[in-house]
Amino acid sequence: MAPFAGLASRRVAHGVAMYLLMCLAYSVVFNGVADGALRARIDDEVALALRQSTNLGPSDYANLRAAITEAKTRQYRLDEPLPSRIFWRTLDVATFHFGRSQSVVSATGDREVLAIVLQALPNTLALFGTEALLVMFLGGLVGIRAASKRNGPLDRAASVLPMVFNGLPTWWVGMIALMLFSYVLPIFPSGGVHANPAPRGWAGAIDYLHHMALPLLTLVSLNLWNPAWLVRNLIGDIWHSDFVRFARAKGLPESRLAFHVAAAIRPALATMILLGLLQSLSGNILVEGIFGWPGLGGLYFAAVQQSDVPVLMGVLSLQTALNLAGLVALDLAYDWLDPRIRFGGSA
Amino acid sequence: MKDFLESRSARAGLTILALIGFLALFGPLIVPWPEASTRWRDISYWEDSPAGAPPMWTNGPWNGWDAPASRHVAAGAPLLREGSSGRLLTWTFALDRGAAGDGAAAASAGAPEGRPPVPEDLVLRLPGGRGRVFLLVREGRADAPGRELFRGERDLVPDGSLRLALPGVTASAISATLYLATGLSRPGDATVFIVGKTAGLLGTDADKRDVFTGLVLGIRWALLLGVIVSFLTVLSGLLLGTFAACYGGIFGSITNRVYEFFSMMPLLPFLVAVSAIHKPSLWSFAGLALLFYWTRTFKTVYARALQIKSEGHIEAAVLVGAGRWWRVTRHVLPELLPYAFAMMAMSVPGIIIAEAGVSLLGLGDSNTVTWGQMLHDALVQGAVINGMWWWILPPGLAIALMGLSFALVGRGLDKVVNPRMKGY
Repeated sequence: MAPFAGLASRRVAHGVAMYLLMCLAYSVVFNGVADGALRARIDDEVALALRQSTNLGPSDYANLRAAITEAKTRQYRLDEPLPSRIFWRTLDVATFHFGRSQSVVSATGDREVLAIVLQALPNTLALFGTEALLVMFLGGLVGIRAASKRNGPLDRAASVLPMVFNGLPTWWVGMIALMLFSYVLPIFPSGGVHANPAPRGWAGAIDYLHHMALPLLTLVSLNLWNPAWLVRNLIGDIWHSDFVRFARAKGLPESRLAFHVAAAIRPALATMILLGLLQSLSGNILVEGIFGWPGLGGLYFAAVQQSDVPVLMGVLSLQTALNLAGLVALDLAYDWLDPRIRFGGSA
Repeated sequence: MKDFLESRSARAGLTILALIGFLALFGPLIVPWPEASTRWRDISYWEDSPAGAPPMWTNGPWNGWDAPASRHVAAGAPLLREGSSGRLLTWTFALDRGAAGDGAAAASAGAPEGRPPVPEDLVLRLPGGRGRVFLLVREGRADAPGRELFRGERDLVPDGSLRLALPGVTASAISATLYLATGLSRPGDATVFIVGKTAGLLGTDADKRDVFTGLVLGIRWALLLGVIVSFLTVLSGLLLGTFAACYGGIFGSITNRVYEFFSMMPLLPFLVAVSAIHKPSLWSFAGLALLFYWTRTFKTVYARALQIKSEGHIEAAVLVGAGRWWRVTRHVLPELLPYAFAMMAMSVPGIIIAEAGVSLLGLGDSNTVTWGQMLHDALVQGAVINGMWWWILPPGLAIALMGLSFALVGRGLDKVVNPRMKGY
């Protein structure tokens, strides 16, 4: 137990260090624009403060204005030298103090970036989590079927389609799907998560699924072929091993045999599923942008279009945090489950 | 090499690539709009084309034989008739549109069967012409005029052109008669553009630009970017991975930490954010992609180099006194090189898609015509909503085809370097 605790703390420390390093990188890259955003914010706040003091002479007014501006500048640390500004910004971003957005507003009218980001997260999880699970399930099924009938039609599809789809931008397929099934044949809604006004209760859930259907179908039908190909090849390696030969000699039908083999590649499958789920946390800027899905990616899409730097930083750091936390958790799970894997091995 | 050329996927991939390469080199010479590469965003270059028109070959009875866009120079010098207050100039334009009959005959017979006249726009260009003119446009030749299409006074815009809305032309020629008051300068060779409702091989976009031309011009950027970036990324991944594995020590651990950092960074969001803030160019995109994509080769190469390093023949080389540099350059690198070639081919599609994705967000290089930018324009100007498939399908299919050709070549190479995969 003790070695595991030591290992765990080291892994967590490593993850945190990595996270801080990335936040530092974001702060450095976005330093100029983030300073600009802060200056605009100070101007707004100064104007607001001055509106309350109306009966002042011109010189008093100028003095007051200078005093407030200076106080605000100090408050937001804009008077400090560059390294110190970057340091404080890194700390703010790393601790999720993103401040207020410049133009993007949450559904409830909130301009607190953290609130906006947290509102978008569940939508991303719903769409891409479902997608990851469906892709793994269907991909595994197709892969097993393909491996059991070598050179059958499904096997040929499983070997050609990943190549075709890898060169295909998912968002472009999304554009086509949207054009066909939302505008030419209006079967699915063209964007958003619910109709307006949103139905309540069960009707609301069905409405949500209806809105999710088109992006989900597009993503699943494109992405299931990579895991299928992987599963097929993994199984192909085991196909000629002794225990399979024995099972066949025993009289197991070919269709059952495939699932027998699949049991042998469970660890690889588990890794694939977990990594797929982890990837789904980040969402997808372009797919969500095209389908008007208000998740993290859609939010990012909007923030880029309106050059809203605080929101950009917020989404980036939340995605990074989730991603790193997931990777650390995954490593810990492996350590826990398989004592042969030791710290420092390839992740 | 022989194995490679014998594999079916490699041959298919190379064939498509050869075709793409040919178009990249000679495309600008065969496109209908030769100046498009420098004047893609110049509105005046495209002004005579119809906006958002479907391809020419979609014409048929189902859309009432929409006229394709076409350009006609006046046949010969104008017929001239002098009067006391001015003169009449009449040009004939042969439309070669295969309509039945000529002149008065066709006009009196009305529209030929199966082809009712469709209202269309026509641009008359009179270089050197200026001011207000009286104009009469009729079907048929100047010596045998038919049905009247337009009669009225119009102002010529400064470049001497005039846009008319006609009730539809069915004859194979039209004539335009211009009344010039004395003192007005006589215009040069007249040209007529029938704007039409369909245009070109692949139609036009909402800004009247020819989609086929854009498609051909986009090839070279996709090819250039994909090949250069994948070559450089795989090369740097290969070198870093090999040296990190063989030299180890501080260099090895630093390289591995840097690898970790870049491989965990959310790639597309970061690319997008940086392009949004710092004015994007194709080369800055290439630089950023280089910064991130080397990680994809690094880990595989690193793991493989660690294996090779401890193989028997390398140990033997150590025993006969080969230095580390010798071992790396003469033994480890040559063994990894074939993998690297396969990886170069396989990584091209991802880079092309990434560029297209960044361009789709409107963050592309505005000095070039790329497929991603065409799709960006399509998205922003409502091609999806209006079902303008000719604008959306070709660029995406081009990306897919180019990706497929490189993937096929990569798989062909992979079969050669990974003989274990041959059974599949």
